[in-house]
Amino acid sequence: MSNDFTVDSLMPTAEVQRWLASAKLDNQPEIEQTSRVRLLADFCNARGESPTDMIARVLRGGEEDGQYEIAIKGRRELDAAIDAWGDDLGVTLHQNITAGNVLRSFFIHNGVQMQGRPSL
Amino acid sequence: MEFKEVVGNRRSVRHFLPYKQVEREKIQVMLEAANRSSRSMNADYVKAIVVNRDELSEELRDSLRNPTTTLDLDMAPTYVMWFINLKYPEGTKERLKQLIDHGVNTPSHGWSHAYVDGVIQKTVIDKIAGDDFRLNWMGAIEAGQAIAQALLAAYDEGLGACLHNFSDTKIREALNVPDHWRRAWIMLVGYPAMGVEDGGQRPRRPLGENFYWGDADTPFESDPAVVARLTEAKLLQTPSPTPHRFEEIRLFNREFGLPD
Repeated sequence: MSNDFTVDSLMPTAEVQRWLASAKLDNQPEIEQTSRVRLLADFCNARGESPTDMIARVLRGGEEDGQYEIAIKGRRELDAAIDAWGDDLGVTLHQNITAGNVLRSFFIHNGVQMQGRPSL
Repeated sequence: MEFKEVVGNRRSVRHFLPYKQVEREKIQVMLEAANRSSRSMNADYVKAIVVNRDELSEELRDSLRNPTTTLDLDMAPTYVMWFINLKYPEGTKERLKQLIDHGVNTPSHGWSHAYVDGVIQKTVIDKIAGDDFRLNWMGAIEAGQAIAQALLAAYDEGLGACLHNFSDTKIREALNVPDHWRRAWIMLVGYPAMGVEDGGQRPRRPLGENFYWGDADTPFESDPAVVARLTEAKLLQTPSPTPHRFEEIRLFNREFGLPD
């Protein structure tokens, strides 16, 4: 298991910047941004995998024309991994689900179509 | 509610109050509206099964999901699964003779029992039933009219709804869906979380881009006086996005922990 990912290392990446801008989080208070990126860093460390690599496993192609195909199985695995990671956080169910959806937000704004899991 | 306002209020609602159940009587109104839809040969093109979300097992609810129909299944309290009845040509002769007996299809328009008994089977019914494309094409158009009427009825009852694709592999067996019922859409129904306005009317292209007068080269010209009348009647409403739409969404997401 790797512990290479931090808020500082992820914040300048193109994927994180795209996420914050597309979700209009870049005009929110700094803590709204850093707390989300911290969750992303925790997820990456738990999986030992960078955000770029995780996206690349779900979105295939794109080299020639910028058009990608979604790997259905890869997306399903990613979605399940997000749920499992959130459920292991050991906070309230609402917080577990919300944290998982923060990760989904990152992937959604980077082109990985998936839908949120509601806290009901 | 006046008809034009109902049409104006209709929009695909994706944000529901998940805890507010839909009254059975309102579903009946929707089904009655579907049952009154226009239909060639007076045939029954559409079938529907209504289920409440909370009455389905978690496994069955999960089986309906596909990548674009997931969150909505959790939020909407009622599902109407629409199917195209591919046996709709059956019984056509009897129904057409009934229409003659009721003075609907009349001799002035060429209708008689002799025509129905002796001609229509080979000339019309067999050609539809024996041609898979024609059978499905006609079934889809006619079923769509029924679904659209149910949709409008939902808005007239103060509900919101959205039509989605769905996976029917497991639900068919669980709900005893016959093989000749072809999956159409699942209509997710509930109370709109963000009110009737729900962010405003969705963007549409001007009439002249899709509608024509006289020939296909002459776009239909919209009359500003008619636009004013339809605005007054609420068929034309505030376009999306309404002010504060994104703040509304953010608050909704926060309430249910959803992705921003």
